[in-house]
Amino acid sequence: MCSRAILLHGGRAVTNVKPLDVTYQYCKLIIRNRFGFHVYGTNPDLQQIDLQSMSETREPEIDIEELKAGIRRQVERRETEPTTPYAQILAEFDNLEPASLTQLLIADPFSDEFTQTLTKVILQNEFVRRSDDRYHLNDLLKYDDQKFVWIAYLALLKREPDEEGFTAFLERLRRGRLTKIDILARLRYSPEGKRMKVTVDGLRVPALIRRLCLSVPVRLRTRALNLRSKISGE
Amino acid sequence: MRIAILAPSITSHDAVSNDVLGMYGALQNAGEVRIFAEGWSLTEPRIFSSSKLESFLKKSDDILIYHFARGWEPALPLLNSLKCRKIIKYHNITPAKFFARYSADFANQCREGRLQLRLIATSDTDLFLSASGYNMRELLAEGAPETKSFALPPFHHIDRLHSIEADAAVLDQFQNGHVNVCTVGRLTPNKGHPQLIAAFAAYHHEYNPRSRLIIVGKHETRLAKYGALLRALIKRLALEHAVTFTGGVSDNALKAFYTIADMFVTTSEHEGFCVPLVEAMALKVPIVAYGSSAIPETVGQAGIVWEQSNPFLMAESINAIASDSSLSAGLAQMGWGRYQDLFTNQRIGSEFLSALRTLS
Repeated sequence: MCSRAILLHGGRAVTNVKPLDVTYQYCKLIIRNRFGFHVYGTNPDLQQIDLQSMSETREPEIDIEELKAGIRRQVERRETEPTTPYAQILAEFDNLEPASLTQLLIADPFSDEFTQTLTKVILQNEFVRRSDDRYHLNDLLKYDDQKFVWIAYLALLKREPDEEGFTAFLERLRRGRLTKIDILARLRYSPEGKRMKVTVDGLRVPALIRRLCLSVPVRLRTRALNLRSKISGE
Repeated sequence: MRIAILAPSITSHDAVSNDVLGMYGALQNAGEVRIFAEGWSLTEPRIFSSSKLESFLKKSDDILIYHFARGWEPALPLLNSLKCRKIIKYHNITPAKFFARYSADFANQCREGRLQLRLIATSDTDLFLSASGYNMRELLAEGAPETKSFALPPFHHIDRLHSIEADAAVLDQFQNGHVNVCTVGRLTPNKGHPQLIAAFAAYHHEYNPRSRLIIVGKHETRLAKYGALLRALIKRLALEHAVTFTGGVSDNALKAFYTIADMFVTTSEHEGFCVPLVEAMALKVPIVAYGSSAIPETVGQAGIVWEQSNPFLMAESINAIASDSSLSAGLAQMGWGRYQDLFTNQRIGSEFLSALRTLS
């Protein structure tokens, strides 16, 4: 269990907690109390809690301005030089050029799949939006996987994908639940896509066919699959 | 009477969406209420496509409540074409300058939103509700009429946080005698994380090495350069083992982080209201903050708010709270009192309904 404990009731510290009593169940009960019990942890030295004997108390209000003046004085009184020039380092980072930021991103060991894609597509200028907002389907189908989803957003919605949309489309593309045509159609014919009015020559007919395929009732498709299995003798 | 609440998108763990849901709940007895959005990830309550909005609001005494938090092209044509009564809820739009270094797309979105601000402020709207006085002043400056303007804090999910269990795994992991300095909010450049990290570095290295900074909030991967900058700064300040990024968390985990937090610290440079401050008050976590934008009016006298984001003032403030349990308890109590006085959903609901009654 934890070494530090403060049990607050009505703003007053109460130190009557028996370690074995402060299970998470007990904590939960205390936290649930709308009158303000909080358990931050337990301390082996504390003793039996007695909620019955507690009474609502109010600490006198703290004078914030007086408190701040005291804090200011403490800062001024500190005689030792800081071990690190915090403000100076902060200023260095505040003034980093975009190119340096890009380098930080490339070197970032925590970058996830989304970030890696961003690095590949954006930073390497692999795709450039067309000023006339007109593409041929093949301009977009030539990309695969992460790059395809990212570039589909750039081309059709004229923006980078949000993480939720990127992840959802990528996962469905990888599982085969959606084809590239489906994703392009969903983006292009979404309310946002319609507002962007990007032209994709060659998309409408295959998108319509795919939509019809997807809307065939599941039972019919299952029967068709069963029939195909019988014919092929699987 | 029909009431439509409209937002570009409705998702979980989102302050604007929580406000939409809170309004939806508060209006249940006021008429037929529906939520409309262009995109959504919630299944309950039922959300309708924004393309169906015009067929829902037909009469002149129907009401549209539009939540304005970013540039969204369809908003203005809708506001201009609908003949019903209209309410804007303004949550503020982050200035583009914060994003310019990290994402051109993000910066453009903000710029477009800011351009819409004047058009919305001068549109034919019956009521302007702003999440804070700070937001209201922005709308007034852009031409919104004062007689139709009110400040109304956003509804929030704090009742839910009070009713659920804290995540036991988080409690286990972070309760080990270290001072836990927490902040909550999306990992975006307006939140001033570099200043927070520098302030924490001063506390960690100069006062108490048995301390950690926990940054709770969803990563926005389009802002990956910002995340990379923060990690590089952490490395430069030798804090690799003292700073934790949690990413997006469940409500149970969020409650646990507030539970283990010795204090809530924010050095955010731009907030239209800052719901996490109210969460901290409601969960009795003392607050230290840099008083930018709407933060001073949200915190009031219930926390230590500095006019400048000086790492040493912040570090000394952290130390004052961490080393004095009666000060910590007193600040927590003052936050709780402010939450009870101003920010409960019940109170916000009653103010919201009062504002609606001013509609002609």
